[in-house]
Amino acid sequence: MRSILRWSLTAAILGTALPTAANPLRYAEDQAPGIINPLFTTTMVEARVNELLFDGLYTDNQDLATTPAVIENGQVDPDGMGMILTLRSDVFWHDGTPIQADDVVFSIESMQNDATLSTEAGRVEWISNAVALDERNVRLEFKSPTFHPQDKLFFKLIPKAQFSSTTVSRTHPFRTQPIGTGPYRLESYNDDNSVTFRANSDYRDGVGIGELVLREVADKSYQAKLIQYESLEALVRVMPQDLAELSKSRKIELYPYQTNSWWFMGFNQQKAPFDDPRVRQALSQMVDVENLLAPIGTGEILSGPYVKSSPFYNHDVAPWSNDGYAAATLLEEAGFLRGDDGMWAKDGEPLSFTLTFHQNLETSQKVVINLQSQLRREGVEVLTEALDEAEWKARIWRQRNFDTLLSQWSFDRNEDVYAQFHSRGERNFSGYSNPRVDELLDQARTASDPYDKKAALRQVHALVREDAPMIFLWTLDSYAALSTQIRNVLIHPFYFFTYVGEWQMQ
Amino acid sequence: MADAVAPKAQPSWKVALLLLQPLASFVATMAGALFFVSALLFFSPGNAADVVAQDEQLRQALVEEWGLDGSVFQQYGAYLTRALGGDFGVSLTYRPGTSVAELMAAKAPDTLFLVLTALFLSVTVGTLVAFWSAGRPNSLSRTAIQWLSVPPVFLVAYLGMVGLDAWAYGSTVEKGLTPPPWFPLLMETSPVKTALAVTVLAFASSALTEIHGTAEREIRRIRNSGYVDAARARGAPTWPHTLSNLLPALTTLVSNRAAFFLGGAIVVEKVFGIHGLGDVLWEACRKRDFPLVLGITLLSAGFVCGIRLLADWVRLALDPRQRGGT
Amino acid sequence: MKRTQALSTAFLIALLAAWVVSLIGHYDVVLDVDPNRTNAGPSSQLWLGADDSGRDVFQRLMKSTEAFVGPGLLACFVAALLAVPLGAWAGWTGGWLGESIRFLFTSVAALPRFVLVLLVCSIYGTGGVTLGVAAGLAYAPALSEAIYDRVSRFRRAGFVMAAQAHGLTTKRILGWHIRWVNARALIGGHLLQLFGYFLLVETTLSFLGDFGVQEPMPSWGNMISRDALQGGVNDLNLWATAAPVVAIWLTVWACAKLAQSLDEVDDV
Repeated sequence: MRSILRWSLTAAILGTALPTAANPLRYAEDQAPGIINPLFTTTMVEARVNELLFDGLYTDNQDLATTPAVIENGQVDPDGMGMILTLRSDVFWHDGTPIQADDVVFSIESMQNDATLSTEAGRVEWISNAVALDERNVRLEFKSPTFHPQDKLFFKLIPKAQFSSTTVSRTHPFRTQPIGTGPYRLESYNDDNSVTFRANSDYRDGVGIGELVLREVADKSYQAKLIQYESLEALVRVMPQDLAELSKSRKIELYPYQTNSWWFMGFNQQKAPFDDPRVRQALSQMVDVENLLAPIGTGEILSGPYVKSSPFYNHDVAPWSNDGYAAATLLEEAGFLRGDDGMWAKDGEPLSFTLTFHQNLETSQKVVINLQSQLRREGVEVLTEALDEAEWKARIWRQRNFDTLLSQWSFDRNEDVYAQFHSRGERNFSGYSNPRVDELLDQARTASDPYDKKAALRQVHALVREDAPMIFLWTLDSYAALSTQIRNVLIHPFYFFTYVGEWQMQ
Repeated sequence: MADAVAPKAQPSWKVALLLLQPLASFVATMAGALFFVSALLFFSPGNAADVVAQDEQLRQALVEEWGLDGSVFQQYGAYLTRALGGDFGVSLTYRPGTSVAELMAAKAPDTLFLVLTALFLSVTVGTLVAFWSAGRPNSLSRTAIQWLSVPPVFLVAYLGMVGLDAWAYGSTVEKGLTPPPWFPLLMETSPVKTALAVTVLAFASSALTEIHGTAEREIRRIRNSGYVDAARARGAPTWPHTLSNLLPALTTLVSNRAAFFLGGAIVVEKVFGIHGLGDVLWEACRKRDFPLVLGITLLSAGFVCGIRLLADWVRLALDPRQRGGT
Repeated sequence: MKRTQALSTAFLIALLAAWVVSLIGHYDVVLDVDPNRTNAGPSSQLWLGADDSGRDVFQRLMKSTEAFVGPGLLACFVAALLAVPLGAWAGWTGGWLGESIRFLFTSVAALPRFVLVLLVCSIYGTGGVTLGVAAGLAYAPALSEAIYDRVSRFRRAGFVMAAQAHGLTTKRILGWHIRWVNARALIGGHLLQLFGYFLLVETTLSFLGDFGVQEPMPSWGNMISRDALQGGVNDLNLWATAAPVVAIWLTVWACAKLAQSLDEVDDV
C-alpha cells in the first residue's frame, strides 16, 4: 500500500514526464497508402487501412465464416434472386450520423457507375438493383439465382452525404478525410509519411487500443530491426531471413497465419514458342522449385492455382517433377535440337526468353538469379528485366508485352481464379484459353451447390496444371510479429486487421 | 566592410542598375532552365496515368481528368502561366491531388536546413584547416582530408550507419537493454541522425577537399601579396587581412557548391530516411509523377540561381572594383 | 607528389586493363551462381570469397568495370564534344553569340547535376548509354566555362597575335595552339574529374536501386550489401562488402589525385 502511495506521488511529481495516454500501436508498411477510398483499392496497404476505417455489410468471424457486420438480419428470397437487409441501429459514421439504407444503395451504385471506374466494380456486378425500402431496410436484386449471397457482401460502405453523385473521382477530397463506420478513424497524416488512426469511441463493440500509427518503412528487411529496437509494435509480414532472430526475442511474439497467395512463373502464350504446350511442360520440368524456394524461406510447393489448405486444391495432382530427361524428350518432339554449345535451338533460333518481374516483389531477385542459372545449365537462355510500377502496369497489365513473368497472386477467401484463367478474364495476362476450363469456371460462378463448385474447381486445377500456362511455385509461410505488450491477437489472413477491435495493449 | 562600401558616393540609380543586373540574369537563367527541362520532357515515353491505371479505359479517363492529352506546348505554356502565379499543379502519385506547391513548402525546410548547414560546416572547417595547412607543404591534415573526403556520399553514410548501428545494437539489444530513444537512426528524427547526415553531406564526395584546396590556394596568394607583409611589419595580426581578402573567393565557392550539396542531399535523405524534398523527388522520378518532378526541379534551380544572385550581390558589396567602370 | 601521380596513373591503367580483360573474358554472371558455396571465405579459387548467391566476388569486381568504364568514357566524350568547341568558340568570338552560348550552358548548370541525371533517368529509363549522356551533359557547363576562360584570356596574348601576323588561320590557332597546346591539361583534368564523378553517380544509383545497374549484372554499387544497413551487421559478409568499398575509394581517389596534379601542371 505504501509503495503504491509512493509511486503515485512520484508520478504526480514527474507529471508531464510520464506519458499521459497509452502508447500507440505502430505498424509498418513498405509504402504509405495512396488513395484512402474503398472505391479505389489497388494495394494491400490500402486494403488493410480500409479494414480499419470501414465496414462491410458482412465480415468474417473468427472461424472465417460469414457473419453480419453492420446489419442485424439478412433475409434471402427462396428463389435466390434477391434479399432484404436490415441495418443495425447502433452503427454511426465517424461524423456521428447513423448509417442508413441510402448509404448502402449509394455504395453499390457508385461502384457500379462506369464513370467512377471503381477498382471494386467486379464485387457488385452480380447485383442488378438496390433499393432503400426505408431508413433501415435495403432490398437487393440479383442478375441470377445466387447461392449464399452473404459471402459476396464484404465490400466496404461509404457515406452518401460526403458525395454529390455516384460518379466519384479519384481526386475527391474524401481520400484524405475518409469517413467510415470502422473501429478507427483517420486522425492525421504526419510529416514523416506516417498516418495516425484514433479509436472510434462510437464503435459498436468497443475498441481495445486507443491509437494506431502506420509508419512507412520502405525496406522490408529494415522493419524487423525496428521492432527489435521497440520502434514498432507490429509487422504485417516478417521476412524469412529475420524469423530466427525475432523468435529469440522475449519481447516479440510471432504469429503464423495462412495467406491465400502464391507465386508463379507465367508464359505468354500469344508468343512462340510458348504457344506450344510441350515447351511449357518441358520448362516446367527443367526447374528445380525446391532449390528456388530454399534461399528465400519456407513454404509449400503447389501444383495448381490454390493454396494447399483451400477446399479447391486438388490433392490428386502432383507438381511437375524436376526431370531433365523428360524435358529434353518434350523439346525434341516440339522440334528443338540441343546444339554443340549445349543450348536448345529450333531452326537456328535459340530457345531464349526474357523473365520480367516487379522491382518491389520481395526477395524475387534471388529467385530470378537462381532460376536463370538453373535454366542455363539445362540449355535455355534467360534474360531478366525488373520493372518499376509504371512499366509493370503498362507492359504487363495493358499491353501484355512480355515473354515470361515472375509474380504472385493474392486472393480473398473466395479464391476466385476466374480473372486469371478464364479466356475473358481481365488478369489473364498469359492469354490462356481452354474452352473446358472456361465452362467449369462459369459453372463454379453460378453453382448453387458448394459441392458442385468444389468439384468444378478441382477439375480446373487438374486441367490448368496439365496445360501449364504457368509454373506454379509456392505459397510462403507467413508470420506476423507483434510486441508481447499486445494481447488477444487474432489475425485475418487477407485483411489482417479484421479483428483489431479486440486487440488489447498493456 | 563599411569602409569598402562607403568611399565614392554613386548616384542611386546607378547602384540600383548594378543590383538589377544580377536579378535580370537570374530571371533569364530560370526561364532557360524551364525551357531545358521542358525540352527533355518533350520526348517522355510514359506519364503518371500509366502508373495508377491498370486498364486502358481507366487510363484514358485519367489522362483526360489530369489534362495530359494536350500537346506539349499547350501543356507547358499553360504550366508556365500557372507556375508564375504560384500554382504548380497537383501531384499524381503522392496522395494524388495534393498541391505540389503546398507539398514543396512542407518538405523544403528540412532539405534547406540540411544543405545550408552542410554548406556552412564544410566552408568553416575547410577554411580553418586551410589556414593551418597553407604554410605547411607536407601537412598531415591535408593528406587526411584528401583521403577521407573522396568517397561518395552514399558510401560514407553507409559506413557511418553500419558502424554506429553495430555499436548501438551490441551495447543495447544484444544485452537485453532498451535502446536509446534516438535509435534506430533510419527511423527516428533525432539530433544524432541530423548531425550525422549533415556531416556526411559536408565532407563526402570530395566536398571538403575542393573547398579546402581553393581556400588554401587563395590564402597562399594573399600571404604572398603585399598587404600581409605590411600588416606583419606593423606588428598587427595577419589573419583579419587574409580573411577579408578571402571572402570574395569564398562567396564564389559557396555559390558553386550549393548545387552540388543539393544533389548530395537527395542521396543523404534516401540513405538516412529523411522525408525531405530529395526523398520526394526520388519517389516522384521513380513513379513518373511529372508535375511533382517539374516543380521540385524548378525549385532546386531557383535555389541554385538564388544563391548565385546573393553571391553576386555580396561580391558587389565586398569589392568596389566591380562597381567601377565595367 | 610525383609518387602519388605515378601511383594513381598506374591504378587507372590497371582499371582499364581490368575492363578490357572483362570485355574479352568469359566470366558468366549467370552460371557463376552456386548454392554450395554461399558466403564462402577467400581461398585459392575464390580470391575474395563468394557472395550470398555463391558467386565469385573477385570476378564480379572485375565485371563491374563494365558498368562504369565504358559509359564513363562516353560521358567524357559527350562533355568534350559539347563543351570544348562551343566553349572555345564563345571565348574566341566573344560578343553576343559567345554570351548566348554561355547562357545556354548556364541554364543547364542551374539544375544540380544529380537532379539532372535523375530527371533524365526518370524520363528515358536507365542504362549505361543514357547515364553516360546525362552525366556528360550535366558536366559540360563546367568544362565549357573553364575553356571559355582560358581561351578568352589567350585571345589577347602575345603569341596568338604573332600567329595571326604569321598568317595562321583562326581555325588552326584555335584548334591547335590554344585548344591543344595550352588547354590539354585543363581538359584532361576536367575529364578525369568527370570520370570520377561518373563512377560516383553510377555506384550511387546502383546502391540505392531503382535507377542503377540491375542484378544479375554487378556494379560496385549494388555489390555493397544493403542488408547490412537494414538487417544488422551480424551476418554481414565482410569480404563481399569490403571489396567494392575499397575499389570505389581507390578509384575516386586516383581520379581526384591525377586531376589535381594536371591542374598544378597547368597553373605553372
